[in-house]
Amino acid sequence: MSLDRVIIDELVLNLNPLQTAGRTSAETRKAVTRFADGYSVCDRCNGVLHDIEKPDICGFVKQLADFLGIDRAATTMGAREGKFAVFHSVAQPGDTVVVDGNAHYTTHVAAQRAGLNVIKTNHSGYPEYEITPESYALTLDQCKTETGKPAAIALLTHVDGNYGNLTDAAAIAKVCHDAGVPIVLNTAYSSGRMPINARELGIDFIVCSGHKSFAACGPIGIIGANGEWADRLFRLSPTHQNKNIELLGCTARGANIVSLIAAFPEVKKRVLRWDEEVAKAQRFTAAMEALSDNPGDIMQIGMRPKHHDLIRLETQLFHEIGENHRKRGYYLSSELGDRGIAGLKPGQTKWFKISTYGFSDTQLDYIINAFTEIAALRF
Amino acid sequence: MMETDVANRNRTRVENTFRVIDLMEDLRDIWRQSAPLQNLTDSEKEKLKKKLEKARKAIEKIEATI
Repeated sequence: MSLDRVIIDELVLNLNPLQTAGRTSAETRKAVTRFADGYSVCDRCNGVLHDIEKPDICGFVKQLADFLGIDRAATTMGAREGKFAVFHSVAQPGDTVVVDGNAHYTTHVAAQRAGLNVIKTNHSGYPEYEITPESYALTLDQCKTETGKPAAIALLTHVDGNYGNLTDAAAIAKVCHDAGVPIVLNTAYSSGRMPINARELGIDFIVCSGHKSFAACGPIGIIGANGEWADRLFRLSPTHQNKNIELLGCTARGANIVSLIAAFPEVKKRVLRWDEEVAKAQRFTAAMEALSDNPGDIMQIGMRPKHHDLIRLETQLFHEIGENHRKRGYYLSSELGDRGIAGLKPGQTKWFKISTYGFSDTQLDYIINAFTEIAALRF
Repeated sequence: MMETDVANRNRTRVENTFRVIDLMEDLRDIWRQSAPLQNLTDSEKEKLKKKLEKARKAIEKIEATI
């Protein structure tokens, strides 16, 4: 069985938003090589992963907590596992969770696994799909009216994976707290890319994705909690001393956590360059929309201007080219592939999502030129 | 009890094995940062050559222990 990857980042520019901020550095891969064996971080373990001092996981989770502005943090196997842990620790089966209308499917599945009912907020609809504080106020009211009690918890997707919309977490947290409801912020697409301080945002719980936004190989995520919620989330087993219930004792215990530790110094630096990433996203979006004089030919979907590197485009122009191309809709990924660009789903031409994260200006120019050349096939 | 010479030989082998792997990871970053055309600048070419030379030396040290 071949285990070669389809997309090789040494050969192509990979635009897949799922992958751009999870690309590892040489330093991370070197560390991973040393910890590829199972349970390799447990050489000096006394029974609790987050207390291990060699490698210094104990010190690292404290650094993570500082970095995220949270009282206490721990690693998980991913953001979805974090969401489940939070739901499971705060709510009882049959309770209700209010989530944003752009929430990832894993938010819904995590709630279902915890036995919770889900009520979604509205978004503003096509083309911006904005999530507003008002929508949370309305939905929290709706929950109370329909169920007779407040939601057990609310979840906000800080940046969603469909449109790359950055939400107003502070304002929505205030709405939730005014309704007496704690809030968990899903930062899978934000923390590790941009600066985030949960305390300043008024957030009770945070979940993060190491393999999506912290340049770690993963699978790994982070959960954290502020104030009294930390004691509840990180409560211990009554029967097994020091074993955390929601973490099932220990979570990431090998190359995954080491990759997060190794990536962290650069992650701390790169979040400070977030403005540059936003500028690149805006430059790319403007260049794509300028490919045609007809505004409907290429149109960015989601809130404008872009405040995130995940960009969704409606691309009628590229769709029309495919209708007359011998490769039909597959021509686009093929043309890009011929230019050393990957990450679009083969066959997809009506719309697509891409991310500009981490590319140099030269590489971004190259990508824009490639789309410009392909757009010229229309004439 | 392992003899000191054997322990030192083994350490040399393993340290240089990791050295080569590390240098190859550095090369991967050079390819990634210059993708997709990999048109290297003079300084990047120099950096690449130095890493290859270091890798060659590490491999020679491994070979010398065989």
